[in-house]
Amino acid sequence: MDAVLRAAAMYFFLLFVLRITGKRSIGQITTFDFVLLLIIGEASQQAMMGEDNSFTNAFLVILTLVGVEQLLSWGKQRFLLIDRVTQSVPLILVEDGKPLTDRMNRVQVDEADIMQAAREMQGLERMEQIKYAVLERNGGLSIIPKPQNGQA
Amino acid sequence: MMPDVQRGRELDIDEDIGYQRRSWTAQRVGQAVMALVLLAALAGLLGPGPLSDATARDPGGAALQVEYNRFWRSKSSLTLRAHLGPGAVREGKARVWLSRAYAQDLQIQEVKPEPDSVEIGAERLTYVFSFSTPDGAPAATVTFIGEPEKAGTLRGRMGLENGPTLDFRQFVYP
Repeated sequence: MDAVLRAAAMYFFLLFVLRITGKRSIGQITTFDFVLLLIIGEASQQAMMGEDNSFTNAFLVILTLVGVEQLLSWGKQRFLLIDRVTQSVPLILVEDGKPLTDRMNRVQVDEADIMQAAREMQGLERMEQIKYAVLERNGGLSIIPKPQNGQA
Repeated sequence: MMPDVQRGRELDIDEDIGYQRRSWTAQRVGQAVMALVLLAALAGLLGPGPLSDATARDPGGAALQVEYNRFWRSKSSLTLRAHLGPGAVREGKARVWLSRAYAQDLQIQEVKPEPDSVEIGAERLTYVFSFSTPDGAPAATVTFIGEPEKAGTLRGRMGLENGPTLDFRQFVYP
């Protein structure tokens, strides 16, 4: 019984901590973030497994983690609240070439980050060429360029 | 909730700035909670630390003092230090007892120095130590090391036979 409870408690604790610290996508992970993730994994593994190294315990922990994940993704489809609590909503950061600075400050994205994404994904050169920049719910930046002259 | 301009009219996007602002507020609150938990842990409210360290002493004399932790965590090694004063030794023996319920909750694994014998009574476990020093000389410190299994409040009860009884409480986190 307690293997299931421990694993579920750890799942929700990690979800809470990661949601509190805000959006960041896998693509933006620095080497140090990666090291931190490994340490977090190590620390939570100890608590989830307890002193029980049996096959059954590992089996139960894995089943619980995957089960909670499944349950939440089922819930996300049906309940808007679960969807938002676990994943948040997308946020527009640039509109018609104008950076929305108060929003960018809130999510700790600066113009350099947006221009980097614009160069990488769309080959854009200047902020004015961006129609929309959106911080997606997975933490990535999407850039939508303005239509070129003549096309619009 | 609508001081904000509706952005991105041309985008088919489920932006919800009202929800976004509330979630930012929730993040602030969550970060504050995280900071408080860390401060509490540093202070010792979640385990070892200055606010956790405590001493119970008998009001009358200096026969028995116990150093214990108010807050501890299950499955980690918990130490109790009992300081036996001069009055604790009679005829070369000191007889220290713990209530059986407490001894059970504490899951005692080791007693240092090793007692001569342990007597199991209806309510108490009595540990008997021999002394070669004359009665009335400063006595010794006995360390009990346990590892509580269950979370919750432990009601500590320790005493000297024909001497004082000390009561203290410990809270064990899961």
